[in-house]
Amino acid sequence: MTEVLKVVGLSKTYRRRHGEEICAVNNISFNIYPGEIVGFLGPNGAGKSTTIKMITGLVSPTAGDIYIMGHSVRTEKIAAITHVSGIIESPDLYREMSGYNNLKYFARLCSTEALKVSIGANVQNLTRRQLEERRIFEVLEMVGLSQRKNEQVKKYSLGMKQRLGIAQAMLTVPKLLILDEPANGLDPTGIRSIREILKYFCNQYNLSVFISSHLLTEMQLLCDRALIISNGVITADRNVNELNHDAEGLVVIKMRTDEPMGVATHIEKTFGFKTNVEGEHVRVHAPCESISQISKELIIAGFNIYSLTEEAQSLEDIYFNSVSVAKGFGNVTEMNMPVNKTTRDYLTKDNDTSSLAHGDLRNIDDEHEENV
Amino acid sequence: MFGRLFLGELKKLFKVKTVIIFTAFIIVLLFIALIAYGTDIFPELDAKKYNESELKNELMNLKLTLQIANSAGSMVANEEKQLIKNKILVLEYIKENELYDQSLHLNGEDEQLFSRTAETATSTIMEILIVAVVIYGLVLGASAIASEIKDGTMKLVLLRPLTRNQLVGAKLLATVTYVVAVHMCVFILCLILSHIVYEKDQTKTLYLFNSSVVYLAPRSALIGISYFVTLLSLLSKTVLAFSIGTITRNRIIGIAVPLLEPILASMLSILNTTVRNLSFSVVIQWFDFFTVINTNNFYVSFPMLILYIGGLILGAFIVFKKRDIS
Repeated sequence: MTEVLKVVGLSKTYRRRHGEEICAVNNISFNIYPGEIVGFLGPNGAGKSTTIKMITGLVSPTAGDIYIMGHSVRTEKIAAITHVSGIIESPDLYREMSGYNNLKYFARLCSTEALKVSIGANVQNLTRRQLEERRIFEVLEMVGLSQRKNEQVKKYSLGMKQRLGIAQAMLTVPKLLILDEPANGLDPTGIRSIREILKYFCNQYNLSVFISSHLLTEMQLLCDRALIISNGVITADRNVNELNHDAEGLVVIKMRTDEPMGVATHIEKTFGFKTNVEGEHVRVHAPCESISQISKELIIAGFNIYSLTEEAQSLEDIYFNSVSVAKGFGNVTEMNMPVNKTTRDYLTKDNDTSSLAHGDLRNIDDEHEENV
Repeated sequence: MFGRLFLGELKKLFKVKTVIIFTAFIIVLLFIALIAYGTDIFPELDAKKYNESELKNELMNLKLTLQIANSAGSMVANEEKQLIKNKILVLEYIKENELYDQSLHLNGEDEQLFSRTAETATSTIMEILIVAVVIYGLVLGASAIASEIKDGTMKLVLLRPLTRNQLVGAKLLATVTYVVAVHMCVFILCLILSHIVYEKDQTKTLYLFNSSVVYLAPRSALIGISYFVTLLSLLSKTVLAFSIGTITRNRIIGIAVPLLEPILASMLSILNTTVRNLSFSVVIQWFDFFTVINTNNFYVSFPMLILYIGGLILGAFIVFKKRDIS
């Protein structure tokens, strides 16, 4: 499949006055394919905005190149940028002008062909002015700002400005929509509204979207893929729809039973799947299609299974793992592992599960720190 | 694309509220200037009539004065000598063309004439109003790119398929077009009011160009000269503010530098510092259309000014193209 965006060995180094060099982005490479929504996550100062500015040609890279629909941003900037639209950092529109006049100004900068393609059918007899008017009307309807189009932008709420920013970006349908923190500072209603607008545009036009944000749960709901950047380096590239898979592509099934050791041994003997026991829970690493077979087999064998769930890692887990690894703290899961280990030790020592309530984890942590 | 961008920029410059405030300010200033022009703040001088013998005597006196000024050990400044030369040139023109017993105005550097007529009123009042127009031009020029970078709107504009050169070019052209339109409106207003209040002058005027050529023209030529001198002065200042604002990305510096230029010139003129017979105040004058037109070395100062402004525009294009927008 042809990449909409191809980033190859991209680096950006800033030089300070006293000669010190700061590497904001360090040799990153990734691709975005048609129709994909890719979340770009990372802590403040990780290099997200610098990367986005390099992709949009606002900042020139120190090394590497960016290809948009096969056109290099360095050497064929206009050809590349024609396929891109978006909001960088914040929806900074002309505050003194009305929403409509802002869109009118940006519509003037669109090519006639791009406007025709965006509108679709029955446009052959329309003049340039009519094309602009029609497209502005369409995008205002899509983002729900038709009623307030004549108000000055300075009177808009942040959510309205974001929506107007997206409307501006969608005046012509781009191949790649780049959004830098589109939900920043918005209330839950505003966030949901932006998500729904983006989903609508993606379904309607099969856009590729490259979106940076700090809102991890929001990104999990919206994105197909998540790229995590920390200290200028891409530390994770995960398919959001496959977060429940482990490193070998197997799902982790967690079950609660009164005979955990027996269940684990039975599964290992019958299916040959890897298991581990934690208190009254058994974790099984198995292919997704085997879940029903396992449950049937355990019931036939006479085991009492009180619960059976597919254990999924959240985007937040992946994010914190990636960020802490990049910062040299080691794996967060690994950092938490001693807690589990202590739990096990604790259980083994006292054989008592009553103190395993969540509230006691702090005590266990403290105990672990003392051990360390 | 460039045409649409230019039109968009032009429409963006037209802010109704600003236009209303500026128009009100100009009208008030215009009325104050018109009232002041009718008072002794501007002394009235009538046109002169020369007879043959009077002219010959004055010429002889002037030539003698110049001879003394040029003699060794003379303390007469170069500017004063030039004024004497100018007067000699004008009087010799009258003598050669036998323009005796005619009412004549001498528009050389030695005479400041304020005969209360429509033409001189237009010219004098426009010189007052142009200060307000220049300040407006400075704000527009310096803000054109610097403010857009500061407000973040530049990032959205650059996401459109246009080159940075196109953007700078369209903004510069739109700013220049807008200030030309503003200048024309102010000038027409000034012209109409001056013609309502004062009568037309029927006398002729001797115009001296570049301290070398004398032209005899109707008094109304003063209106044309006033129009172009004030316009070119306005344009040079606006372009200067645009370039400085774009290069430094700072609107305040963009406005301050062109404003400081005449202050520096007048300070140097007070000091009257000279190096090898070249006055610093004259050098400063080379960088301003307003004084370039009246200078006695037009063919040196005009190209110098064009080079200076051209260099700054080129600098603005190069800097904007090369630097990152962060």
